[in-house]
Order: sequence, then structure tokens, then C-alpha cells
Amino acid sequence: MRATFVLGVLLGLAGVLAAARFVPWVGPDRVPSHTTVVSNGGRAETFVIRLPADRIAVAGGEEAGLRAFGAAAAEPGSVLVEQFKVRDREGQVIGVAARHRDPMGGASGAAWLLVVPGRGTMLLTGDAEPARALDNALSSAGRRAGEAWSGEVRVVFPRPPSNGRILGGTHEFAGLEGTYTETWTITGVGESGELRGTIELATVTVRGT
Amino acid sequence: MLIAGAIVGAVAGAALIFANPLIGPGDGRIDDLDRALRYDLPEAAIVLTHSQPAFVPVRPDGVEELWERTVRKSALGLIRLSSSDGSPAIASRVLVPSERTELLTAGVIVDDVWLVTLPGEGSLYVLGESNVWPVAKDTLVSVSLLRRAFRGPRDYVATAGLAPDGRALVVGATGEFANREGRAVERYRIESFTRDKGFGGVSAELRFVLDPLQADGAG
Repeated sequence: MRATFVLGVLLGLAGVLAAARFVPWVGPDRVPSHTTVVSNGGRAETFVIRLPADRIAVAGGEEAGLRAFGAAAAEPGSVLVEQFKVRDREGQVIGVAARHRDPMGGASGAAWLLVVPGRGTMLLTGDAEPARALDNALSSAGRRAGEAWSGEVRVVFPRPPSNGRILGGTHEFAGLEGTYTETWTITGVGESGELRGTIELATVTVRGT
Repeated sequence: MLIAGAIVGAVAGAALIFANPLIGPGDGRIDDLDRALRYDLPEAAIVLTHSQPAFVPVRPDGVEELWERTVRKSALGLIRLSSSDGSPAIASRVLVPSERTELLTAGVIVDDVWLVTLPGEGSLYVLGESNVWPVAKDTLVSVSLLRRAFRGPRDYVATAGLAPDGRALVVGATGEFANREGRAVERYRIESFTRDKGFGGVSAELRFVLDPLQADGAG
């Protein structure tokens, strides 16, 4: 009986320790990536953000124009921070992203942090777009301040021929290099200034040397 | 007797895990991390969203939650920080539970990535892993589950990678930080924790250092 008890203790101890070590406590819910091979090597993948549905939060000042609509906070130095859910080209939410734009002096630049659970984090940087670039494009298309508008305006950041740079990232994206463009396609503006449309982050990456 | 023994063994195993020093606080060096960004929670959190039970409530009320299947275990924050000289900074931070989590040698690991902007200086990324087990053990397990009192204030180093030295990687993005790399460590001080009110008074510090700027043409 004593030997049986001791055997039970050892089994219980070993079971708990084995569970602590080997049970997959975290299993990511990931969906297949939709990448395509590009002709000169590397792979292309486009991430999509739908406005206004995927917009989580924004912090920024007046200089950001319509993009600061509903800002949770005004930021010093005209920094604009935007946070979104991100979808694959099939329209399924696969991650979250943050975009920071700092227009001040020599520090001028824009940076994206793109996080896809189960796949990793991708880092993207580029030149900062001019202040109110989107507002100016909409004005050129006939939108008047304070009024609702519908139509289609397409703005590409960074401005061609410049491309944004991909700086690699973590896990699946570690060691990747490449370029990206972000295309804002605005199809409407509400009376209060809420943007409707999409942002497409088109990436082309190769494995770094 | 076998079942009774197995129960005793399982309890002993759980006690061993609870006291397991291999999954204790991180030991990332901070003595060479010359810059510090500080913040207090929850005041500094402009936005915090996730889809977990309301142990840490979302902010502000009504913010879009991360309810979709692929992101529902993640958390996203927008945090206002300040340098030691009082200069403001702002950070987007994403936490995702890591597949590296195991309770024998690693701990409860979350991928912990930041995009930090210091106005007028530029932006940088902090790519880290944090072990939240030490905090969870002292609060959720000890206080909420075992009904012990929280012995605070207590300090924690959560950072547990991704760099080989147990610190987080810093990757410069724009401005003065572009093309630079470095290391970072995050420390917390928790003043109090109760079953009823949860965390009370959490201050944190993100310390980092960047490699020196190299002149053009220098090796």
C-alpha cells in the first residue's frame, strides 16, 4: 500500500510537471497568409484597413485634419497616432496596426507597426506625408469643409517615386527586407468629418542577406 | 491509495511550479540603458482595448474591442510617457500571448512590441517578450486565488527577450533613431493589489539605449 501511494505521488508530480512543460498553453488563431510570388523574386502581400470600421483610436492635433476625427487626445508637436484593425485581402481581420507620423524638422517620418498574431510583427517606415495631404486631395475633388461628400479620391504615401522601407520584424517577418506603399482610397466623408474608404498596405519582401 | 498519492503529487507539483525560480523575474541589465520613459497606469493609458474579461477595463468607454477570433487574445494600448527631463512621448503597444509560454523554464510569455515616438527626435520600435508570471503569481494567484495579502510596493522586471541577453531589441525607425539599434528593459512598481479593486498605483519605466551614431564611411 505504501509503495502504491509513493507511485501515485510520483505519477501526480510527473504529470503536473510534464503538463507545465509540454502542454501548448497558447495556441494562436491564425488564418492562412495570402502571399504571391513576384516576378523578380520575393513575395507580395497586401493588408487592408476599412474605414471607419477598422479604426480603433487616433491621437493628434488640428494639423492632421480629417484624420484626427474623434481624436482621443491632442498630441504635442503635431504627432499623429492612428491605430487600426488589419484585414487580409479576403477581408478577414488578421491583426492590428499602429501608424505614427512625426512631421517635425529632421525627425520627419512615418512608421507602421503591424502585428499579426501567430505570424509576428512587421516594421515599416517611410517619409512623412505633408500636413493635411488627405484634406487637400479631397478639397481638390470638390469636398467643402463641414459638408458631407462622396466620390473617390486616391492618395499614395509615401509620394512616388519614393517607397517606404520594410525593416523586418519578428517571427515570420524577421530578417525580411523590402518596400511598401500605402494607398488611401476615400469614397466618402460624413458631415462630422468621418472618413469612409480603405487603406491598402502593399508590401513586397525578400529574405535579407 | 494510488489516486490519493497522485493528488498529493499533483499538489506538490503545483507548489513546485509556484516557487519555481526558473520562471521568476527577468534579470535584464539596466545600468547601460541611458534613457528612460516613465508612465503611470491607468492615467497614462489614453486607449486600452482587448476582449478579455474586465480585470483591466478597456479605455475609453466605447472603444472598439478586439473581438475577432484572430486578435481576441491580444491587447492594444496608446500610452503617454515622459522623459526624465519632462519631454513628452507617445507609444502604441501591442501584447500577444506567445507560443513560448510554458511553466517549467520560461514562464507566461507575451510578445510585447512598441512603436514609440519622441516628438522632434523620431520614432523607434521596441521588440520584446515579457514574462508576466511573476506579476500574475503575486496578484492573481496569491491574492485573488489564495486570498493572501499583497506585500507591496513591489518591483518587477518583466522583459525577457528577444535579445540573447534577455533584453528587448530596439530598432530605430525615423528621425534621429533611423538606422540605429539598441536594447531596452521595462520595469514596474506595483503599490497595491486587492481582490476587490485590482491594481492600485502602477508606475512603469521603459529604459533603452541606442548604439552610438557611426560617421559615414566608418566601419
